[in-house]
Amino acid sequence: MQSKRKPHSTFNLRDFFFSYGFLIVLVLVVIYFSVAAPNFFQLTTLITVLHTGAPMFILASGLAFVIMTAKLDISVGSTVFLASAIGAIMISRLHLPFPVAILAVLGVSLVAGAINGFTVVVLGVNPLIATLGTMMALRGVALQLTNSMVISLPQNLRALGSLRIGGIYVDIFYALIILIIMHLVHTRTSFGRQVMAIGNGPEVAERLGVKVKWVTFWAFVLSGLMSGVAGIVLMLQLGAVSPDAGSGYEFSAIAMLVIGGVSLFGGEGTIIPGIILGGFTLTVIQAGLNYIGASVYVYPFVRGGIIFIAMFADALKVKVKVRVKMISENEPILPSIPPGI
Amino acid sequence: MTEPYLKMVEIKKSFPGVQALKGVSFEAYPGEILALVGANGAGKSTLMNIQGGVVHPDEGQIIIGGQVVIINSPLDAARNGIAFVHQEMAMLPTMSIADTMFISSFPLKGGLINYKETNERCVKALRRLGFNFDPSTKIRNLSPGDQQMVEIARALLSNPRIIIFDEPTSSLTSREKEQLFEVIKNLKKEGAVVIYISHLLDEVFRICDRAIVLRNGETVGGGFIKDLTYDDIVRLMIGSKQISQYYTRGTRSFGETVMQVEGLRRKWVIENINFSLRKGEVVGLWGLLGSGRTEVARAVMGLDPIDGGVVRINFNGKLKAIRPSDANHWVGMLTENRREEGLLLPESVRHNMSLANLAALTKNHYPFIDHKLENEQVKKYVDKLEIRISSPEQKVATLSGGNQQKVIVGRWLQKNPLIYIMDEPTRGLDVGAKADIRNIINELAESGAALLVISSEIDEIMAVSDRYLVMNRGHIVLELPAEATKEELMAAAAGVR
Repeated sequence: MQSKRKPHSTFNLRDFFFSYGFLIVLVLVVIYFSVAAPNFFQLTTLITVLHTGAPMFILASGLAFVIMTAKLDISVGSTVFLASAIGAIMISRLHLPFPVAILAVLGVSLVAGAINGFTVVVLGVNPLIATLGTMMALRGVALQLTNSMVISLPQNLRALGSLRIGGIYVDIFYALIILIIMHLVHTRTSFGRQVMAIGNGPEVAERLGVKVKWVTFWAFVLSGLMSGVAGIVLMLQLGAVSPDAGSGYEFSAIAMLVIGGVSLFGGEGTIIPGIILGGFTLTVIQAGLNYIGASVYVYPFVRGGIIFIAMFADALKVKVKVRVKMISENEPILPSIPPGI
Repeated sequence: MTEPYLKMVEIKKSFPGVQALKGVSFEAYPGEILALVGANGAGKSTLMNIQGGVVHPDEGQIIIGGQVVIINSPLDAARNGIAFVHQEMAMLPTMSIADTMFISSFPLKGGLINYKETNERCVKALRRLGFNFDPSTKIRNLSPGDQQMVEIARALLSNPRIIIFDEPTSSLTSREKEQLFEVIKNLKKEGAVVIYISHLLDEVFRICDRAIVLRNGETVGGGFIKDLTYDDIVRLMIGSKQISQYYTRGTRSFGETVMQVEGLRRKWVIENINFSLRKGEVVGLWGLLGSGRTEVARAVMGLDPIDGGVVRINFNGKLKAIRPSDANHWVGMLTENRREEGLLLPESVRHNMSLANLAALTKNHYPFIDHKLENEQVKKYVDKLEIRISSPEQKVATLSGGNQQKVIVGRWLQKNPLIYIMDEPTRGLDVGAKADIRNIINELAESGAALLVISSEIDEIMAVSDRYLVMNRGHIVLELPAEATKEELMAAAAGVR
């Protein structure tokens, strides 16, 4: 009774559009700016775009796991600030060795993530509200620690931020390595797969033996940890930590993810190429607007519009999602009765 | 046959308010397919949930392979070689077949998932069922039948000795069903214990060797399928107690058609639904669980999107098509889950009763509510329906189920629609409250309303209906007059012609 059906093809047009619809947008955007500003499409532009975007890519790669469980973490920007502020204070004011400061930064960001995870998973607070709380609280702690002052790093560390290897900023490599690691965590570990399963429906995941609470908790921890890493990269890049560090990052990161095909409804999206595409689209638009000499006030408007369209496209996807179906259409109205009865 | 492999001895279980199982015993042998049959609420699901470790019995023993076992969790069940193919599939639509099958048991290699092995095992498990899928295919691109096969393949991964199928054919086409039956027969040949839960008797007669019939939490009979007839099983399912006196009601005369539903369909759920309701008539929509009764009501009311069909309502003698989303202007609906969908539990009786009628209540001082009128209306219907409350400000959450249901009825009475759809109006009510609701239904009909009543309790529906529509697998398969017997209704719903 071998089925005559051919093996299904892995490629599916709908899946492709669901995941990479914005790839088309990206291509259009690049073409537009290349025409509008002839010197736009150059390698140096690309490198600059990636350099400034590096902390964002790292941040988004952690946040992605929370969003894939259909939860939200908007405290990531504040975690970036707090973590980098603590790092800068340890280095510049307490004169502790750089590696010690790095470990402390990672520790702080882990704890921040764990607090979010605990509040959402154990206390059952709505993730938006819970992380809105930590977003304000963590920023407050950091402002207190820094007295709202800019803390500069010593000269030798500042050089580390603009270090180049073969003409390419070193933080681009950091971001790339972390994206690859996160991609592996997402596609090749039980944790990553179970995060996706939870995004498909926590009850279903639970029935399939996924420890939903435990996995969700660690998704928040990972998001916190990556905020800390992003904080380190940002701190080195700027050579200082200013009181507005990381503000607005949560929204840019969410926009990046949604544009890159990570659904806010959970269970959908990729790290590579999703985040890279999303990040590219967003940063290319910003850089491009600069190049064609658009007013600086145009950018927030354009970005807002893009976020809106991305979210709307995301909501549309859910509408056409296939539901688990009950009965079939070509069923005979009444099943036949075996003879003799 | 040899020794029984599985024995359930005197299993008892009660939930608050109901004794779901009153001491059920049965035995199952390796290499046989045992059918577990029973009407809605007979206790089939509870019994199998006990076996699957989802529910814990109050009393009784489970003996597997001669050993008394205690099953406290689904994991324990798996450890004892029990696998459960649920009616409700646990699928991860955005993920691959391999992920869905191995999500909590990936083979690892150096900390990472070994997808080579995962895919190999996945393909092997599906081949065993006669399917040949690419394991990286996304679940959402599979048909429901194929998804069911993935579900079964996953259940078989642990090489279980006892496999429970709970209504496995409800999402399958006839071709897929044949394939499933082949699979089940192969499992039987391999010496597994197969328990097949279904209320579709033709399937039971097709593949099962032995049947056990449950009714009201007790085993009432059974035997080898070859010694039984359809009639025997139907009779066991509904019991020998015959129709009692409280079904008497005056003969009514019916008026013109007030609602007509034509060709209503929602893909995969309901198909070609045609019926009409007449003035003063109570139509019972009857079918077993999952037959699509509630779905019909929801489709008519515009609560679910439909893929085709027209709902017409009588306006001054002319039937006019309405938009489904407008149905609530003319049709009063009592939902199946009154606590979740019908009521605002933390709100007062007054607020709940005014809810559907705010347009009329704000007419005098728009946009403000005329409180005098509101209080009059609430009082009128509280008295009329004899709702027992301390004051109209009492919170609905503190009322008994029967009084809650009456609050919803009172809400609609204020609006006074011509048509009512009542989905399980007496579910979870005590005997007295049930009788009250039945009386209300009769009074509504006598006052000229048309009612569509859905119930999974056959006695309930027989007590009020002037006509029956019987559903099976999303179709209305039969229309029966008020004189229809219990046997006829049960047989029609179970798919016996």
